[in-house]
Amino acid sequence: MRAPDHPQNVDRLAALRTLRIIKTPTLPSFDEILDITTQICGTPIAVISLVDADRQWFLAEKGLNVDGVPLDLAPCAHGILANDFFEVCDLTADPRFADNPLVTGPPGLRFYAGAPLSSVDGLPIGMFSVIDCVPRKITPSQRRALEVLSRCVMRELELNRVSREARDVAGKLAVAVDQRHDMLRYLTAELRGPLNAIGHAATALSSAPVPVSERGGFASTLKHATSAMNRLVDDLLDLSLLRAGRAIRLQRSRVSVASVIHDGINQALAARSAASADVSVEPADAPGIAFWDGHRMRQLVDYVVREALLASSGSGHAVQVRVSADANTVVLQVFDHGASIAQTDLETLFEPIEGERTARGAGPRLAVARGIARAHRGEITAYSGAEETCLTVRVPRDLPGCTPSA
Amino acid sequence: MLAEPHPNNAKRLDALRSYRLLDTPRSAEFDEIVELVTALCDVPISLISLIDEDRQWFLAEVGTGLRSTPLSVSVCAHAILQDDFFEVSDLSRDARFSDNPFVTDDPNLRFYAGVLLRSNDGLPLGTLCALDVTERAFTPEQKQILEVLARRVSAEFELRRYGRQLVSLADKLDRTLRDREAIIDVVAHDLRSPLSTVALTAEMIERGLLCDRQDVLAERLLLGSRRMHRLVDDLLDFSSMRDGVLSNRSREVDIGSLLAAAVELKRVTATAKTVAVDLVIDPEIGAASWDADRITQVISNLVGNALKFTASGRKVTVSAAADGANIVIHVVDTGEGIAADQISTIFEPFVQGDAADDRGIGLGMALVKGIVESHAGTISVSSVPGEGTDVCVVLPRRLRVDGQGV
Repeated sequence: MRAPDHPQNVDRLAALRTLRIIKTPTLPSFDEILDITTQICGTPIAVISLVDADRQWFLAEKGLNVDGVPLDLAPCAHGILANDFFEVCDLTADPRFADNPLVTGPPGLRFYAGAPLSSVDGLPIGMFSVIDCVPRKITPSQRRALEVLSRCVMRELELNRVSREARDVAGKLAVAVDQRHDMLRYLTAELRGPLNAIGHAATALSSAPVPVSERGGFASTLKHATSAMNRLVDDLLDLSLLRAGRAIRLQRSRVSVASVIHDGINQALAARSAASADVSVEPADAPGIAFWDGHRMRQLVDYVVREALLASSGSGHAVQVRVSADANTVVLQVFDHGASIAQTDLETLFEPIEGERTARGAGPRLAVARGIARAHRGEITAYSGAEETCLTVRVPRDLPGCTPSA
Repeated sequence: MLAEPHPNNAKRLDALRSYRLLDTPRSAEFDEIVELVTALCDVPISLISLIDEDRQWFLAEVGTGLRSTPLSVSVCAHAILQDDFFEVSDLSRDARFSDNPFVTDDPNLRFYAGVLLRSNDGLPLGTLCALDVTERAFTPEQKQILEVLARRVSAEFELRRYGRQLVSLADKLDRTLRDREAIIDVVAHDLRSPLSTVALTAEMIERGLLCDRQDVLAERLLLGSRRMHRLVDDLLDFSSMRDGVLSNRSREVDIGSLLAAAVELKRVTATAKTVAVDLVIDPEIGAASWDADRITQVISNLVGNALKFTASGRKVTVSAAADGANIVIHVVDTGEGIAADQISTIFEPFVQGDAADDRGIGLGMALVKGIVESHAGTISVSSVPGEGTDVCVVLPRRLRVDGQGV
């Protein structure tokens, strides 16, 4: 007779899953536990079984030489319903087992006694049992041994789970620590340059009188330094907003798509270093107008182009910007010939200031750019092949009466 | 006869302590194993005995009613010098035990069988053992039962250690992930005010304001850039503190001169504010093994805070005295005090206090706490609003090998 499901079967199976043990190789410690169990109980067979949804698995067994049986045949499926020690002195005399092929036919089982394997929440995930082919009765000290050893088995499974989990968490921690380190390295590197410029200006001012004619130079050095740092601060504030799951706020108006792109590229070019590449633009036939936050979209174009310029510096190739547009959507594609990006890194390209990247995405800019695109109900995607890497920005025009294309 | 210490005793004792089993309450997992030993091996006494520096301590026991004995009467202290299984049929006829009062006198022990409990790197911590008052020998089955159960005891040790490790790793991971968000916030917020100082100064230079007071302009620039530099330095310190690498440069330092030098660093600020800083140091205080730079950082940071909150004409007192193995340092100000509900959060990194505070959210106090803790010390704050604040730092004069205070 097949046993009915345990009354808390869903929770019970979930407890079994958290241990992640089904079909894992037998641990040597289970074999030696079974060895002493057969000695203590004087039975030929001892098993550690897990009762899964449709099958009973033997985590370890002695004297049976099978790795599991269907639930219809499994005495342990009845055993877990007892939620306590379970003993059947003669299986042929019990209606639950009298018609069981393992009892009526080979190997001709007669005796079953077992203690439940209970999860930390007290749910039975299986049985720790002894089996014989002759009827018998367990002594109190044998019963006590089975109960204690069943708990030892659970503690071993728990040890297995906890040590594995500790390894997992240690791995994640190492990654997180690296990422925090990368973030700090990025930030301190970004801050040091402008800070030094300010420090030099201060030292110069304090050491000797500066003629009026040179004042302009000082002022512009300082303004350059502070505006670089201000941009970083703004980006970090945006980033913090985005990471908190909030959207960038827009002030939309009707803007010329061509001039947004043109101005954005110029901003990127103004910020580039001397060694970086050029930009060639293939404009769209009819870029037209859009209902965007012009300042933010210029920033988006700036940041995407700037990343491409950084990536391709020293490659000898220009960054290509291709613009295409239909009535509803504007698509901007930025190609560079810098080092390609591995597939796994593409997924984290927009995760700011983290990961092992040196040239690409090593700052908050791409994250902010994506935040801007998304605030406009658009998206940025990245593709990287052997020859070139392409960032594609797709943003709906959002003019009244238009619907974005798929 | 007292056993020789284990050849690797210092490391062995460190390993034993790392399991944190000594002087713990009884627990069912261990109790039921020694009960099982007495039942299955038919002995009146069974112990889980851990060999400490000068005692054996019973994690679990049946038949003695004791939780520890001196090493001089310990058989297990000899067992940890032997192979994994150590059996003595008649203790009274073994020179090592014939004079043992537990053998010559009540309870007249005769038989001993013990299996080593080893640390994960193989050092013997103690034994699971069985004792009898009649001469006998274990059967191979009894020996195997004792061995298998000893491995269950060791597995339980490991489970507890991994469990603790998992909790602390998960906690570190959580903190590291939160740090990443918080670092972004702290940089963005704390840069704004010094940046605007610098930007305003640039503006003044450009417009020719204060052009005859170049020293004032330079001073303002330096003020801004110093604060930004300190933020960068704190970020780096904070990150290395979280990675646990702050405190390994301990060396012998004279406590009195260290404190005097740390206070001296704040002398200019104190003089400018006309706040007196009194130093009250017990002349007998002597030396300590600390990371001098870090402790200096702690004290000058605390004195700096105290100065900030103390009005002109009042005073700050720094006192230090020995208390057993610890040095107790107080930094007491006569300032406005701290509200009770804010005391608990002042050491949290990135917890924003009053938003109006233009000094930013900062890392200073989080660093102070980290440094004190890396010296196995504690820091506490008590405050009476309107009367002042007392920050108390307790530092062990020396660190034990395991990172705890002596």
